[in-house]
Amino acid sequence: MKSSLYLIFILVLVSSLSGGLLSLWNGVTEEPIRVYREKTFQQALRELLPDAKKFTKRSDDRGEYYIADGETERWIAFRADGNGFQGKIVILVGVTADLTKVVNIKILDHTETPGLGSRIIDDPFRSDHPGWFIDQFGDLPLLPDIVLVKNGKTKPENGVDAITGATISSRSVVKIVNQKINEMRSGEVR
Amino acid sequence: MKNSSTIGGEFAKGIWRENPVMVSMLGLCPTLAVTNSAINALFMGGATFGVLVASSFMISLIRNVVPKQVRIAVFILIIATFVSLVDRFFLAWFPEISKALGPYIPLIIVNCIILGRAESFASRNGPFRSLLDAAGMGVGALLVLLVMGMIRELLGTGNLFNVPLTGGMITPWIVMILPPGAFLTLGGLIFLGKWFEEGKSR
Repeated sequence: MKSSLYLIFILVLVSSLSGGLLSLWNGVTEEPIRVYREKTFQQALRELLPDAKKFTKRSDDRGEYYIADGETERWIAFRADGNGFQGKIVILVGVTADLTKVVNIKILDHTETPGLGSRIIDDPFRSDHPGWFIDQFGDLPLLPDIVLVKNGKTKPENGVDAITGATISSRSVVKIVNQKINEMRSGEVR
Repeated sequence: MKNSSTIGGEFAKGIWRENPVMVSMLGLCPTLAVTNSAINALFMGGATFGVLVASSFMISLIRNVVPKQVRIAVFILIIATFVSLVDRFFLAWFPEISKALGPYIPLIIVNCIILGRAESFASRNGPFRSLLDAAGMGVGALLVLLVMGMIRELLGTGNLFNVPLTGGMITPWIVMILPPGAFLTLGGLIFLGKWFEEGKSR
């Protein structure tokens, strides 16, 4: 009896010491982690819509989004995420306020295969323009969606070229953006 | 366990003769997965080293207090605590590295090098010897990871520590930074190590 009580005592003691230490450390690291996340997100927002002067955060049943006001124009920015080739792709999307045109998109996070799927943001075969895939989304009209075009076929006005050798990653980016835009269309934005 | 080896030998055995990765073949998962660049390998090796040294020392200190029925649970708790500390440390001050290493930092908890040293060495030897043993094993693992990371990054991208070296003179073999490259590199290293040992003994 004594020995099993002792076992329990040791386990409880070690666990509580460990828990105490971790919660102390969490207190120390919480702030830098939060600051870093906020900073990278704000920076991404500004890079996404460089002409915007003011960002106003809104949130409703479609999640959080930002109203971005420029001199005369107004845009909306929001986060869209979904599955890529093996993990989540998180994309920051900027569209015009009437949701008829994509202004710009930015990949915040992805776990695509380095050297293959990662070419969605950095294509070593196009050293003159490594970000060509994402840049295709700049000023792209939505009629009503974005269309992915393969094999270099003539593309419509709302089309983007797929990356050869990274079809699934290219398709995922288009699908994630389309899905979120359609979700945003389900309600008023003001 | 015999305690006859010298203090220097306790440290040195982990680097070559009993290298945890090349000889004991422990901890192969992170060795294969995160050595796609020299920086990643360096931080992964550093994290493993830190956790190994800290937990071996801790486990050795409490080895006579912990009943043997619950020793593995206690070891894992101690290891997990140190790993969580390291994980949060990277998140807070090296967020880019933390992003690149992804789930492999938390997975150090189940790295068999650490539990292996805890069970086979730290739980039977004093704190000072355990510290030396862990440091030697940690350095041994770190070196293998670093060499693998350097070989793979150089051949796979032409860079070393993100600095372009080959200047486009060779075409990078992308396969070297993909999973097959890890197996090829590790296999090659083990082959070279064994070959060298054989040659010495003959």
